Amino acid sequence: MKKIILSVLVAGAVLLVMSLLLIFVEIKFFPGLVEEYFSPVFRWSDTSTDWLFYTHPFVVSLALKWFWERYKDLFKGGDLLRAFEVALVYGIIAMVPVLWVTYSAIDISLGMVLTWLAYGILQAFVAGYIFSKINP
Amino acid sequence: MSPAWVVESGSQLNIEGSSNINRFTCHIRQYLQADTLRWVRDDRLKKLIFRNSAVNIDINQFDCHQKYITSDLRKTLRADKYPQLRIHFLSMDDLTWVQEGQKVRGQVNIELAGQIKRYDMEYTVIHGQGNRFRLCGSKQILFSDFNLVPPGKLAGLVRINQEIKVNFELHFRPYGS
Repeated sequence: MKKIILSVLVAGAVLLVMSLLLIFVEIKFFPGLVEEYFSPVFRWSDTSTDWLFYTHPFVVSLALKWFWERYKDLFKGGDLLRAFEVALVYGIIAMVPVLWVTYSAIDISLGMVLTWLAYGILQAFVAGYIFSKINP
Repeated sequence: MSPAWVVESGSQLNIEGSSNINRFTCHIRQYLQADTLRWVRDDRLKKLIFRNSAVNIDINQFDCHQKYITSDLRKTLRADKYPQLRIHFLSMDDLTWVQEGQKVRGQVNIELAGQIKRYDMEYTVIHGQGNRFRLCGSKQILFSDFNLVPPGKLAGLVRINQEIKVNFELHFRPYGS
């Protein structure tokens, strides 16, 4: 149990740092894409909802940990390969259908949706790698 | 009746701002109101004192050339409730002996989003034909001067910065000419 909690917290913290770094990278290299966040479809920053953004890596970590504990025996091989498989499954099952319907319903560009897909897959890869290391 | 100047339609005003992504400039697309500035000369202070004289600008006419910034700026400035940016002229150095390109000082009240703030201004005077002239200048202001919060998205990681610079070039002709 201690290992499970530890791996959720470690993965959550790493994903949080990664999300902040990726936003700064996106601002630096893809400013045109980031400008789209000024679209009215996105919430204005507000203390009543900002905390939801900063806690999302821990929600992702917790959900992926549940998935990991239930299906980790299906993922064979080294840490990197297992992490890659978790990322692939998460991307195909969780991300693609949700982003498909998101793109159909909300006025956002395909480029933005693809960055979210890449971001989700990367999150799952990093979390999967941490779980494989801490709690194989 | 006290002398007056009429603001001509060729007048221009723009706002320069920035976000943590890039810079933007919002131009006023059309200046339609023929506002009139009435004044009296105070010989003791060598100043022109304005009376109920304001330039009115429709905030919904601002175009930032980036559709998301344009709509966010209007929302930030609460254009739905306060559609006008008003520059109330209070006083200005007497222009009688001012040479071409010379700077003069003055005071204005800027009314934005229901708040009024006083600013000291510096204008460059450019003379035109037939007693026409232009006042050019700029002023750095903060959204917070008017109790406004610049927009931020993604929990504030993507945001418009507090400082904006208002640049203007107001064209005047004497009333009645």
